[in-house]
Amino acid sequence: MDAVLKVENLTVTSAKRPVIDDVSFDLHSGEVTALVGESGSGKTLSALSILDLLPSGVIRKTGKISFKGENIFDLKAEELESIRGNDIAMVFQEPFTALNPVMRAGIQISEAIAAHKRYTDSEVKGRVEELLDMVRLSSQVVRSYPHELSGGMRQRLILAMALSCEPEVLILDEPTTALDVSIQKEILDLIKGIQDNRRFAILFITHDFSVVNMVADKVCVMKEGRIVEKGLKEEVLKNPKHPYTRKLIDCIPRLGDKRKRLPG
Amino acid sequence: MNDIIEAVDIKKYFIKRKFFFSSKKEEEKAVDGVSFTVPKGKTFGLVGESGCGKSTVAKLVVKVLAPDSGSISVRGDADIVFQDPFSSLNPRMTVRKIIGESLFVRGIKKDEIERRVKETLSTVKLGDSDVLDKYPHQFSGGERQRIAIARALIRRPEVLVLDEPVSSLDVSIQAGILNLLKDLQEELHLTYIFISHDLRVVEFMSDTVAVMKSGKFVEVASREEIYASAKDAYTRQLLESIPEI
Amino acid sequence: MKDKLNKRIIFGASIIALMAIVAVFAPYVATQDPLEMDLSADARLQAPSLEHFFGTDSLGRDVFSRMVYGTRISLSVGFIAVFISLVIGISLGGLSGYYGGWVDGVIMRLVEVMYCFPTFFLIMMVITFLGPNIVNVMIVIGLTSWAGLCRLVRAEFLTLRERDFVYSARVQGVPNGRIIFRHILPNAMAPVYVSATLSVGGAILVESALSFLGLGVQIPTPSWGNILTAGKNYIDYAWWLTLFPGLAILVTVLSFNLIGEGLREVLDPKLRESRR
Repeated sequence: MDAVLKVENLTVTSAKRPVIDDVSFDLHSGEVTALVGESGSGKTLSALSILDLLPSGVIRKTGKISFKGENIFDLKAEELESIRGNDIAMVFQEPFTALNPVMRAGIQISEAIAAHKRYTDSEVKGRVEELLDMVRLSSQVVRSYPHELSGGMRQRLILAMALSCEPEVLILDEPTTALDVSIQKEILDLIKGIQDNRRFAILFITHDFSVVNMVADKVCVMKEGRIVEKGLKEEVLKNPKHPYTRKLIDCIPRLGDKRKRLPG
Repeated sequence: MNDIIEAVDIKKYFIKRKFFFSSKKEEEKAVDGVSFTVPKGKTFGLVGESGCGKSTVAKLVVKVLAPDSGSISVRGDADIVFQDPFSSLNPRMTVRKIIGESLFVRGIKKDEIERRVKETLSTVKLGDSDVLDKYPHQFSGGERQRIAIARALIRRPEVLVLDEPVSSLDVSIQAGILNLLKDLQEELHLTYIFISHDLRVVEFMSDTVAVMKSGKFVEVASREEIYASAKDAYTRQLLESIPEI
Repeated sequence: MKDKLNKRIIFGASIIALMAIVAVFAPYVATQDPLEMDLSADARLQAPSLEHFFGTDSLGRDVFSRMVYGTRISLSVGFIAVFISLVIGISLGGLSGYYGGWVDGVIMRLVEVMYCFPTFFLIMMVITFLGPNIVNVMIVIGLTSWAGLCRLVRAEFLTLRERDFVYSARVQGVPNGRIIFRHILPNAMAPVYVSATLSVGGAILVESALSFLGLGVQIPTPSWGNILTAGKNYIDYAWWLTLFPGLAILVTVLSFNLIGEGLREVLDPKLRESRR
């Protein structure tokens, strides 16, 4: 099956230094691909590259990113805009800053829905309910302001907005890092549940291998801009080939851990 | 009696207004009747989700806040290491000044301060002498946290309160700091209060663990008991939420 | 960290630097004695010429030289008045922001009172009582313009007080005074630099206005403001008596504003960058 999104030999530099160095990976429908790395590894920049949203001062040097066969970097501005949010959606790390604090939740979702297609008012309303249901939020949420919602609820709301246009590719940048551990589990279960039904191509960015274990099918490990290991989750976790991968896996303390010291 | 820290039924309430103009005052029970003791050289782990009151307990132990009722006594000095290594160091002070500040305000002479700062820096494995004149922004997160630990240790306190000391750090750096903390505890006979929302890290570090929710301890037990056979439903829920490798 | 010294700061600062040099070296820059009168008919109200760059006034005095000495007045009033307002504003703002409670309450009420008064009229009234001279002018301007700075500093303190490095200092037993001045204040200065620079321009304007009204620097000591006064009766034909001091005031205030705006640009993004 052909990849929905292909990143090929992407190199991105900032101040003449490569921050992404010859990176390649594919995203397939129905699969969750985890991009694992620590701060400075280039994982968030890779995600931003897919949407051509690199911050100023950061220039792409070489490589291409193909979405359904077309190179993203060759597209015109309007074509790119119609893809962003619509065909490729992204959820960022901080649920607090992604929402407008002075708009009620219902309005923000409605805006996301209506951003790319024309709907009648009742269609929008119906869609809002559908989406809230998908992310397991009660429809009462519609009248709330972001600060009245908990972190987990905000993240669900943002997820709902990302899903509103039924994207083919969903990029999640550390979506649970800022959340409490029990909420994290709920959100991860939610993502898995959505994936079972809808078969998106999901790029899941994280620094925590135990989260990878919970959600991913495939794994790419990034270090200082390079991919040091790629493969199926089970294989990489059981048999990490690169020492950095091994280090990332080993240095997480585990429940029932008998070790007195952590490696590294 | 071997206990360095003894807390008896401490309560701390904060008063918040419901709205900006409202005269109705709401009492937020940040810490609502908490008791514990910590013997010398041991680590008391405090785990809970955001808003449970664990940071307030930290501030009560180091006496930045005073309890509204109950008592907390510490036999010796207690110092604290905070979560965010970026905001816990004054961006406009050099490392030398940051670490030496608590000695300086006690009138200790410059040479003595210099000697002790260098000594403490090498215990946290940052022994390079040209670290002293640099500013916080010139260091990585892990290095900054080591500086914060050095600052807390320089007066050789009995107790170190660690409020989410590794939560803001990369996974591989976390390991280094946790190992360092364990080594320091052995070397210097320190007593720790280790606070985190991450149960795995708390288990790794602690001897006794308290699970906190809404200002109260819902369960306090030894590490083995909590992780093998937790009694409280909330504790079990937390344990089940942990993603496993 | 290299700061991008932007064009505004460079341009504004160059002009002020030039003026500062003129002020310091006034006796060397001035071509004539600013106080020397020449009441002969062909010496009074002369248009600008090679001998008198800016012409002469109604008493035959060389306007250029008077303007040169007037630079001293303007710059010194500007800097000293703002310095006074800085001292008051920073101290009160710092105390207010750090301690909160009744201290904050009292100081904020004081600030509100200051804001209620139409400042310029207040200044005029006080000067009338105290007598018009340059020292009184400096002090009064300083004493009436600290309120804005106070609020700025207080706002910075309210935020910074909750930062972990402040908690840490408290845990370590650092006395409050040292926390305020050595720990928090250096981090609170960015908006102060901007505001203070912009205030200098304002202070110069106030001094010029006071002198124009006869309430500031008294003749025969030259000030740009009182040169303007002297000129107001002769505007139709002795245009140089109005143009040059007017331009000088304009350029000076503009330059300080440029520096202030430039500083705002340079400092603002850095402030936001201090968190990861």
